[in-house]
Amino acid sequence: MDQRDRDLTTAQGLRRALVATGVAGSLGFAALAAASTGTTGSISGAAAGRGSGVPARVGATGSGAGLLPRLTGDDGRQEHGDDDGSPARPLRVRHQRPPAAVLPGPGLLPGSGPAQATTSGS
Amino acid sequence: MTGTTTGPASREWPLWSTFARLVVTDEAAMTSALAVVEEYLRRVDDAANRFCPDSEISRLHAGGTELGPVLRDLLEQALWAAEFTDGDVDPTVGGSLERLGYDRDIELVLDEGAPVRAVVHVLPRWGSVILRGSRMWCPAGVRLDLGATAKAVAADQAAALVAESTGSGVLVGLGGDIATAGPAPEGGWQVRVQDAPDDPPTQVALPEGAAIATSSTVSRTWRHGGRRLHHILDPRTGEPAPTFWRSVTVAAPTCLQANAVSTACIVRGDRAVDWVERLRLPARFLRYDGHVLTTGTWPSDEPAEAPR
Repeated sequence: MDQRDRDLTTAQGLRRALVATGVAGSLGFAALAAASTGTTGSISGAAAGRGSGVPARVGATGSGAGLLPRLTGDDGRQEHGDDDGSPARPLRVRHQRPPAAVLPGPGLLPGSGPAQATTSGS
Repeated sequence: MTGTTTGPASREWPLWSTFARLVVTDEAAMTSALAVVEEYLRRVDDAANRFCPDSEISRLHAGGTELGPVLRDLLEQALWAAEFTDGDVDPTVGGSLERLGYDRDIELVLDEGAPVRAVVHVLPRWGSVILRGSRMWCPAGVRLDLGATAKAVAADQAAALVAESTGSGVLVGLGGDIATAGPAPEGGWQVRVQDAPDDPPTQVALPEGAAIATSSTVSRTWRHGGRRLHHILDPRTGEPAPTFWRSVTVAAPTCLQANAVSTACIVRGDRAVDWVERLRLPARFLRYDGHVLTTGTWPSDEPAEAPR
């Protein structure tokens, strides 16, 4: 695995690759999910906002847990893995309804062992 | 779903002048989880960052009325928090924050701005904001600030997205706002509770799906007009809430609820404890003299270990 491939194993690296190749559109949730489940998905989109303005196309296929979406540049050049050419699906973030009421709080226990996170004011 | 469970993994990175933290119980899910969280948080930033002129909320301030789905959700949840807290947490305080000098990222806010001019004005309130589907109307000049609730909503949503897409247990922490989803590690999610470095720390174990949030009058402070200010405003006065509590931490079924209650507790001051008792939420109140009060099932303070 060369440095570029290693970069693609992190989300930051993935984003850098997207920007570098002009593929600055949105990565689809379905594509990301597909990458982790070993199923196949594909996303197409247009770069917008802070992106490069270059139309984007991102295909995703995973063949096992934790594998990354395949990236294809706007010129069709394969950047990582193969492109399956399946139809576009948008990022789907489910509408979050406000709670009807606040339920009684969870039962907390005293902590023990190393903390996994810290809550502090921000 | 990932096929093999390989153990926990965590990532932390700077975000919104604080830190984002992602923990998954299944290490193999980390790559996908991180990509989902980063992508979703980018959308939240594009929608609600009032310091970015290209953001959707900035376009609303310039006269737009149409909201995308992410901003609509964030505003809907903010209005819920306003109603639930009887207006103690109000998304229309953006103008007051700007008047007090908090008009850019907190790291860029000058530590000694110009004196605040005393101007008699009518403060907007959350009830003046009308949200119908994907459209919003409010009086001209109202500046929205979703900072009080947006991180909490984002933590809830990001955790849910990761659990749904990977099947892994997940913790998403955005500053003081922590949401969990999916199966918890054995013994629960271990969360250290400490605001300032010299505050007395404690640690609690959150059960599966629980959330926790801290609000503070010590963090996110700046000097303006010769005064030391903090970022939690009393919407009725447009001024920082009286500093009765150093910090308040609340656990609840969702991070939005935990955050709304902890923020409202700062505003309510000494009236907060009875309110939280009635809500039957576990909470920890830290006074300026170091005294700690707890409610509900909050365990007695124990020494805490730092996250690794």
